[in-house]
Amino acid sequence: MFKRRSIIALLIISVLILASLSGCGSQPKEEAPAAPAAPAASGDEGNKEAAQTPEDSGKDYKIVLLLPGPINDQGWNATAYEGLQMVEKDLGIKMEYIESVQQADFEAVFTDYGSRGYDLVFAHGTQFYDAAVNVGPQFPDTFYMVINSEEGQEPNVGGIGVREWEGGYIAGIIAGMNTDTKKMGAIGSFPFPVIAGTLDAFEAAAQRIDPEIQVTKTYVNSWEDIQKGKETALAMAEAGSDVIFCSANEVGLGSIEASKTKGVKAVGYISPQNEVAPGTVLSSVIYNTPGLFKGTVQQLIDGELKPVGASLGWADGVLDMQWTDDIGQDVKDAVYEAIDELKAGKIENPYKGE
Amino acid sequence: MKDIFNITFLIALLSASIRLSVPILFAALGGMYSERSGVVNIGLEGMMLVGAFAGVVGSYFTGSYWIGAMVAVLSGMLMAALFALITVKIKINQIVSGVAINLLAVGVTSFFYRALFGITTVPITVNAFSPVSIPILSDIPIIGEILFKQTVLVYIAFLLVPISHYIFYKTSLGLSIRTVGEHPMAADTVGIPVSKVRIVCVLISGALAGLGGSFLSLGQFNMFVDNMVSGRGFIAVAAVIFGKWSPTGVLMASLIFGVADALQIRIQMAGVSIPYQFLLMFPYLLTVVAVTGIVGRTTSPKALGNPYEK
Repeated sequence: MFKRRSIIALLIISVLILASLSGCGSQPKEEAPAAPAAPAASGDEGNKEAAQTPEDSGKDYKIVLLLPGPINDQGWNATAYEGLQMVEKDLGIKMEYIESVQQADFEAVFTDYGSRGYDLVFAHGTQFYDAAVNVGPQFPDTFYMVINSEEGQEPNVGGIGVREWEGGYIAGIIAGMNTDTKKMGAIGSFPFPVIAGTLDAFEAAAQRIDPEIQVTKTYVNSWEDIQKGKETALAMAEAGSDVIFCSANEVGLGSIEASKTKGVKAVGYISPQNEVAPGTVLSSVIYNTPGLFKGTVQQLIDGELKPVGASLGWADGVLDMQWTDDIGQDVKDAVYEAIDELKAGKIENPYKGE
Repeated sequence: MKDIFNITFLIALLSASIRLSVPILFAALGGMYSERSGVVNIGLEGMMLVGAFAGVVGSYFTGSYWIGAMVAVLSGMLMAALFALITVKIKINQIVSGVAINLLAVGVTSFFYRALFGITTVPITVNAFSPVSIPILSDIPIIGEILFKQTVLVYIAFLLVPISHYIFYKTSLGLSIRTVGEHPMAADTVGIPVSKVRIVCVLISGALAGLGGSFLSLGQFNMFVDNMVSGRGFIAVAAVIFGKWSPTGVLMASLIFGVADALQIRIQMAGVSIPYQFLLMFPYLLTVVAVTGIVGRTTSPKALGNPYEK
């Protein structure tokens, strides 16, 4: 019995080794053992070649997108997936992706793709930054691009920060002009600086419309617990809020559902959410994240990727509006005025800190 | 904080508590059947998730939320059948198998959602349950507002408590379940088919967990989103222990979790200067308290977690 088991184990191991070797056809590199998840390391000669000959149709690029959640989360990760499709359609480059990468696995996954000689690794969230900085220097031929990080590090870690607070600010303008009770609710996922800053900006913008407006801010500690999102928004509406804003992916669907139930309004956020509940969603502030991916891949092709952090907002076309027909011209005017001010850098980030 | 304790607030708080406790109650009642027969069911979370998804699929293709709920029950049972096969028949470690069921559920639901509906930016919506006011009872001040203006699934959940109590303590089936969970060998010697009883109990737990999942997707919403159960199955496992494996105990435990959650939301909103993390921790803190047995002695079924070998 024991013998048979060990034979089977041996068989499985050899099949695995064969399978992983067949994928590369060259000598494994010495960094390989650092990657527990990697079946085996592959040489990267082939990719270097590809990187040096950008005139080639680009089909030889090895690019992967790491996502912290599922691609159908109706928010953050969904927009990244759209970006991947855009890259494929417009640039003809097929990108791989992995969903729901857990924090504990960040370094292992980075090491894995580094040792397999990928040209570009997208990590969709600022939480990936530390791991990228730790792993990056070991794989100088791979570029790690951390979305939503405003920092980068030599030689090969870049960041593209989205000034999410600018989105929250515009949502606040819309909400501020549509409240009768002068009370509104803002729901966040976790009090990360980015999310807290978005809610603070929402509040600041609403109070710019009317200083008497009160904004109730709460966190649900989840990106996907839509029942909690719904109950939170219901409680807000019961306490008198008549506009609800939510920056927490799927949880936002819960808050929109609650707004519909209670007959109050909601501001859509990140993905175009006007169709989720027509008549309830005033309009949506949307992210043009797909463009970020296309732009970065284009930079890779042109050999212009730089290990620096960028910070993008309305001025860079990263944010956009999806209007509904219910919105009056006065609201639109106020929004475009605020957008112009944001573009001109006239508004300070209202983030109050921890 | 000023107007926090008026009657409207209390009504809103308690009816939110009911809504938040119902999915836990369904799954915990199911878990109780399974655990009483000696099978630890950590897989409740996964069975709920499959139920939530299947409910939406059933309602989408037939247009009937009742059929949706039926499909949810059946698919919960399907997951449970797999779990029973692994744990009762093949006798693999119940905890490990339960974790496997949970992981499987996340993948299966996500995969089939995409296979059926594609990757959508706006979720597919289906026909769903709406609140039904029970005549006369719903006119009772306060209580009527809280208890009798809910969806049918809420009433079913609460009716299941006395039904389960009756089954456990007044029928021979209940006696068999309890015996199998306490002393399977004794049960076997008096002719109770241990494996059969356990399989039936695991199937019941799957059915109820599935129904609990469909309460989320069809009773609270009209859509499915990935991982929408968000840990309620695990809270249910704790509620079984907290409730000391009895139907009324499980009911109380579920309600306490529901109240804790509903209160947590409102305290946070009132801007009380307690760190919000502490408030969010509250339901889970209760869980830890429950599991460590601080609330009285918890006597689990003696054969819990042990596969029965003849």
